[in-house]
Amino acid sequence: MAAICIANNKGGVGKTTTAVNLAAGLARLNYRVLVVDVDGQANATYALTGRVHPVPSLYDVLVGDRKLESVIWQTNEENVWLVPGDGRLQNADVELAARPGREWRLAKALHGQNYDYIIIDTPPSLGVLTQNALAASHRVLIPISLTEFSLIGMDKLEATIEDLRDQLDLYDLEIAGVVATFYENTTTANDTWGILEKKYEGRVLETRIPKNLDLEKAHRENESILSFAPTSSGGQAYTQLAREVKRLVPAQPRPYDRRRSQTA
Amino acid sequence: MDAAPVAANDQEREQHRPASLSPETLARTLRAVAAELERDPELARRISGAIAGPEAPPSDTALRQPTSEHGDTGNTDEGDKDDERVATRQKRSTFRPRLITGASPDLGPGIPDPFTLQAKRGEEGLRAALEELRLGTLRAIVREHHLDPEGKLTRQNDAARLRVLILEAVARNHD
Repeated sequence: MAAICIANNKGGVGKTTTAVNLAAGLARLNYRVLVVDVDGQANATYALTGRVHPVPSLYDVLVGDRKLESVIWQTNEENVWLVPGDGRLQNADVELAARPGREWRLAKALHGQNYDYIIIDTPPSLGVLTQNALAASHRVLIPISLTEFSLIGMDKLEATIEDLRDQLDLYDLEIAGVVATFYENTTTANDTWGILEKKYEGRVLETRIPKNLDLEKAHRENESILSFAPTSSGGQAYTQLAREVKRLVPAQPRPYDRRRSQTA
Repeated sequence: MDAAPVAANDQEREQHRPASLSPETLARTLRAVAAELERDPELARRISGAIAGPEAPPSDTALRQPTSEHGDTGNTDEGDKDDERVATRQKRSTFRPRLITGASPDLGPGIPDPFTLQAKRGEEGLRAALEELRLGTLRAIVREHHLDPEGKLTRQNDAARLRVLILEAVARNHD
């Protein structure tokens, strides 16, 4: 079991696309994958099931007292399961704010789950929900779009991860890597790529996810790019990304067990 | 668009120029227009629409790619060879926003079971439910219920054929 959080406080960088398609890619490598949709926009939920804001959802687990098992869905992708999100999650930051151990509610709920990978899709913010996602994860994968403004705000995410490491004793939480998305062979994209390579020396993944209309179409058709257009440029990139992630973050043959005391 | 340059000291000659253009000027102008039309397909479309006249709606049929009911381009070995071409077409086509309501909550969690749906809602109910579902969910139903053992149809991006396959399988089971 390895839990990977897909995080970036910027919106529109390809977090959900990466979560959904990386999960499908790992599933095609014969791994059992659980996707957790922590984002109140619930786009991963729609992309994998065709449902919009289903109830009950992760909200009822984090804010209510529902067992996680009761909200795990089989998805349209073989070997991929989902804990769906819904719009109520957008209020969850406020509702959880005063609760003790609020950052650990997701990790606690996931306890004992027996998948090879857990992929956690996060909202474009650094609130309590994202903190839950980070606390529940072993590694963080940061999608960054190769566009002009993509590097603004990156330091904030890194600072948050550092703060969480200290505050929650998440000493084993590491950035697995940075994955470039929306790649086009343009001067801006290549210059941004160069800056990323300098800034995240050795942690920029080899795979670059191209700008590809089929990725959007696949979402619309409620499936991964690997089902919709496996030989497209996007499909090939996510197949390659899954292999790269498998190498960087190997699945561990034991059920999920992540608590505050263990990470210290 | 490049226009034929007119020197300031030619003003007098300009005033006396006959209404018709010289063959050289006309040819140069048309070449410039042709080059611009080749460079800018949107301009070509607008001019084509204007020539067709106000009574005829601007036709972009020729520019629109063939689409299925979901607007997909099929399994896109072909489409992805030239994303730029597709992107250009996409920009030219009329944007048709769609309110995404998702599949009905009545279907319950996970992959819908068409046999249960038929039992509960009858054939018309099942047909209506399948109409709401998109390619991914239809493909998942076919996969889960082993309705396409050779996987030929499942690999195609054709929602309509998948719906027919599901309806036929359920009907056979019902008989």
